[in-house]
Formats: sequence, C-alpha cells, structure tokens
Amino acid sequence: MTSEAMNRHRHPSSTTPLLEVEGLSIGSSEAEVGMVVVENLDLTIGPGEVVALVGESGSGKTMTALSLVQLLPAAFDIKNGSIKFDGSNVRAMTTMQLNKLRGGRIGIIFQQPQAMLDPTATVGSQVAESLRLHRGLDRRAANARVIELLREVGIPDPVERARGYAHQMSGGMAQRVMIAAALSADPNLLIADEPTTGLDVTVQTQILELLDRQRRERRLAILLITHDLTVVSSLADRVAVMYAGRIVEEGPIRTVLRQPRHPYTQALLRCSILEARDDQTLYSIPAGIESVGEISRGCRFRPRCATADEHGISEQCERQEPEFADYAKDCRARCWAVAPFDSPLQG
Amino acid sequence: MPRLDPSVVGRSSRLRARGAETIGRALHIIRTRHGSFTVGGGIFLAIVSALILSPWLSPYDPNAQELLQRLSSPSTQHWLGTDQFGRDVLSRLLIGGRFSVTVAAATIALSVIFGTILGVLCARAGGMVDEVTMRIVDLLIAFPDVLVALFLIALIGPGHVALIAALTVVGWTPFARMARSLALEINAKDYIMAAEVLGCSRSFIIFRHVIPNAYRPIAAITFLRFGHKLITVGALSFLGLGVQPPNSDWGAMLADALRFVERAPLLAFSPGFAIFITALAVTLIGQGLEAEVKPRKDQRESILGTESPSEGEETMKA
Repeated sequence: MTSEAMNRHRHPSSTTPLLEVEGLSIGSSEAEVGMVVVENLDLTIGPGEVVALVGESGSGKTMTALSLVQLLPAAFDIKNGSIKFDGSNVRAMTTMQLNKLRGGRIGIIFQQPQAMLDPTATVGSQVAESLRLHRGLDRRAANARVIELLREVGIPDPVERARGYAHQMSGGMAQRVMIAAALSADPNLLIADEPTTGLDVTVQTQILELLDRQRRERRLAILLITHDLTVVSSLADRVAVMYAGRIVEEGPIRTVLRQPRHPYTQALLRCSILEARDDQTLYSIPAGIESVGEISRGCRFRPRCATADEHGISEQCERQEPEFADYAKDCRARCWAVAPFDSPLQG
Repeated sequence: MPRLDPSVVGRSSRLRARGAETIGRALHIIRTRHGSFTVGGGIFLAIVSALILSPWLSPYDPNAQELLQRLSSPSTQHWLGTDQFGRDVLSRLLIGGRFSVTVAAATIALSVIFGTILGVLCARAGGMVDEVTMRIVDLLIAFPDVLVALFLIALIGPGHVALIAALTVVGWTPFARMARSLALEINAKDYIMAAEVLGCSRSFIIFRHVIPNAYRPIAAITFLRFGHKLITVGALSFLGLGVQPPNSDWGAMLADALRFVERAPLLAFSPGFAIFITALAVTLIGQGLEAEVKPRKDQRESILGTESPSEGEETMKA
C-alpha cells in the first residue's frame, strides 16, 4: 500500500490529492525563441505524502517548483497544463489569492539559505513576516510564536538568535530558520528545492531529520527537489526522475531505487555515493545534458544512453519518443527497453 | 547585555540595562564610523543645536535696530558687529540660519522620499513606466538646477514655500536614478524571492526589503546633495527669491552686505562662512557614509588577490 493510500485511509475526508499537475509545459515567454524547459509533466501529491523530483541541473526541476506558485522568472511562462491545489485552479488565481497560497498553504525553501535572509532585517522579524501576513498576529504575538518556532526547528538559544542577523548564522542554522519561516503559517505542502545542497554532510542529515519530523507532526506533504538520490532515499515515499524537462521514470521509492528500469535512473544511481563502495571510483554519465530545444524527436536521453545499443533498438529510440510504460504496480518509465508490466488491473 | 530571563527581571532594571545598551551602541557607532563622518556629524550637530536654541542663545532681537551703532566692528557687545541698521549680526545669523537650513532640509527630504519611491517603483514596474520616468529624469538633469528653479519661482512667486517646491522639482532626479539602479540590483537577490515565496505583497517587499537595503548609499548622497542644496538656497535667496523681509536668511544677508563690503567686510563674510561651514559639515557626513558603503579596496584585494572594479563605486557614480 502506498503512503498516499494509507493517508487516505486515515483521513477519509481528503479523497482528492493535495496537488494535481496535469500536462504542464513551461517555455520561454518570447515566442520566437520557442524553447521548452518542461514538457507535458504530470505530478500528483497526496496529503502528507513526500514526493521527490530528481534530476541533474537543467532538467527543469526548479522551474516546475516555481510554476506551482506562479513565480516563474520573467523570461519563462506556463504554456500549457493545469495546476490544482486542494481542488482550486492555481493558474486562475488573482494576485491576492496567490499571496495567500504562497507561504500560507505552500511553503518553499531553497538552497543557499543564507542568501535567502535579508541582511538588513533581524532573523526573527523575517520569520514573523509570514505569521503576521497569514495568521494576522500582532507584533508581540508573532514574536512570541517566532521563538517557539525557532525552538521547534532546533535552534539553540532562540531568543538571542531571533535578534541576530543572517551573517551571524551558519548555513545549517539559516536553513533551519528558513524552514521555520516556511512552516510558520502551517502550510499543507512544503516545496524543498535542494534543501541540503551546499551544507555539511552531518548538517544535511540533521536537516533531513528535521523535515521528516515536521512532516510527521504536521502531516505535511513535501515536494523534495534534489539531484542527490541519497537525500531522496531517507525521506521520500515516491520518486519522479526528470530528464531534459520530462519525467522519465516514477514510482514508489523502494521499487525505483532497488530496480530502476530507465537507463537514466540506473546511471544516476550509479553516480550516487551509495553505489561507489565496491571499486572506490565514482561513475559519471558521459556528456552533458542536452539543451531541451536541441532534440527535435526521439528519446531525449538517446545521445547519452548505453542501453539502446545493447538492446539494438537505437533506431527506434532516435525515431520516436517513447510513451510511459507501466512495469510494476504504480511504476512507469519512458523507455523503449522497458517491457510493459501485465497488470491484472489493466486486463 | 547579560542573558536574563525577561519575565524574572523587574521592569526598572530591564530599562536600565537597555539604557546602558543604547549608550554602548552610541559609543560603538562613534568608534567604528569613518573619520569624516564623525567630524562632519559633530560640526553639523553643533550648528543644528545652535539654530534650534537660537531664540534663547541670540543676545539681541534680530530685528531690533540700533541706528547709532550702524556697521560697527565686532565688540564685546556685538560679537560679530552690526549691519547697516545697527542690527546684531550674530543674532541675525542664528535666526536666519533656521530658514536656510530648514529650506534645504525640507527640499532634500522631499526629494529623497519622492525620488526613492519613484525609482524603486520604476525598477519594479519596468516597461513604459520606467522608460518614460527615466527620460523625464534625463531631461531635468540636462538643465541646470538653478535655471529651472528660477523659472518655477517666476511662475509661482517668491517665498520659502515656493523655494522648497521649486528645488524639490529639480532635486529628486538623482535620487530616482540611484534608487532605481539599487533596486534593480536588490530585486535580483535571493531574499526578495524568499519574501515573494512567503506571500508578501509587492508594496510590502518594497518598503520592508528593497528600501532598507538601498538605504545606506542613498543616505550618503542625501548628505552630499544637502550641502549642494544649502548653497543653491543661499544663491536663490541672494537673488531675493527666498525668504522675504523683514525675515532673512544667510543668502539674503549676504546680498544686503554686498553694498557695504568695503566698509564692513565681516558683514559679508559671516553669512558666507556660515553657509560654507554648514555645507562642509554635511558633505563630510556624506563622504563618510560613502566611504563606508564602498568596499575598501585594500580589503578586497587581500581576499581576492586581484583587483576588481567595485560595485559600490559604480553605483555611487550612477
């Protein structure tokens, strides 16, 4: 049973998914450029579920995250698709509604947390911003709540820290502050975009533990965006692997990490430190990610794929882009080499 | 401040601790500030307090005429002598300075507020709004300040309100230009994104995050322009376009004294020196602030190992 199904069982009222993205395409806002960075993406997150979006730099992960709260950079916009949060259409929201959604129902944290804090404002006042905006607390009540929140995310001496400034904090501390700010208005979904990138390994673990605890205590759904599969394995329920603007494989974390079927997922897993124990050398995927616009047809991973030649299907791979094929329960991959799974449900 | 649980400690001792903290902070500011800021600030503080206290400090009624004592040299009774009507120059200087400094300060305050808000809004809005506003700025900068101010005063008539209005109309442009360039830089920072993500509205972000981060460089040019404004106010008053008689300010005093410059040179020197020293003081403050905003070159080199053009410098020139 997936955790989504389990949550539904525990909370029968929430029958709809929290976040439902269908056919999302993001491209350059200048028509003549015509570049597409995310294409036809489907993503569903249930209440309290942790979904990981994995892929290397440039695969469109962050663009996807920003589009969910309508904060894409000016050079990009949503071309197609629907985004529904808790049943309401995010794309049709007014600025006022969006400002309530951001921070109020969807919290977001990023990498480089120190840069996310305003150097001229105290740490406490920045955490209080969201409380005053979304919870309508006055200064005094907000400040008191800030101390509680900072304590909750494991900041020692929160009274003193709240009065301090960003430059007085380490990266790990700053990320804890960002988590406190993001969670202060009790959102239902936290989007964590590379939350541990650039932090010490020990600090990484602490941050992940913190996220895990918050998720359990608040029944918080998390969209975890990362390039690091070790981060994913400790926290996520489901994983979606992105390559060049498309999801190429998705499924429950156990199945996908144990037996990845898409050559890209397999390669990514071989790159990860988990796999490097035997021969002490790290694997790297040959060549770099293609710019999405460069590939006009066929499989996007074809230029870097070793499997295609092994299976002797490279001609097909170059001719036509594969559709999703289900290979196990709730698991699917976009690859010609994946044999469709004979699901009894599908008949 | 010692770490004490605020609920346990009594109110009075808490206040005392806070008082000590404030004094400590003030001392810290003096010690860490740039030398010219401290010197300029000291002089300016002395001038401003003298002007505020002038009704009590000035030895005579500034308008009281003592015709037997006309154009007298400095004496123990009249420290700076008397003018052509036998009025005490020191008293007139103290009272007249209130007009000069207030007009310049009001002008600069209005210019900063208007210019900064407009510049920040332009940076945010972009497009046509930005384009049109910045061309207006270019247009106003192309004409000399005094010329435009003279034209406006000719339209609305003389007086100190007219002076403030005219000088604000020509004075906001450098602030708008600078605030815009600073805001463009700040808007690209991650903490602005973080605030957007928390659901903060645009106006909240502007007042809470953009302006506080642009504050220091803007404060620096504020004081630099303040000195410039004092001189312009003096010049326009000199031409009789400022404060009207019987009130007077430094510029008008200078104009009056001109006719007697051979008989009583000190009469012209006193208001001139007052304008000079006040303008110098605020300019020193501005230079001190500017020096603090600029990353120090020697520091940068020691860290980076190479010479690189500093961003602060470029922003200051803009």
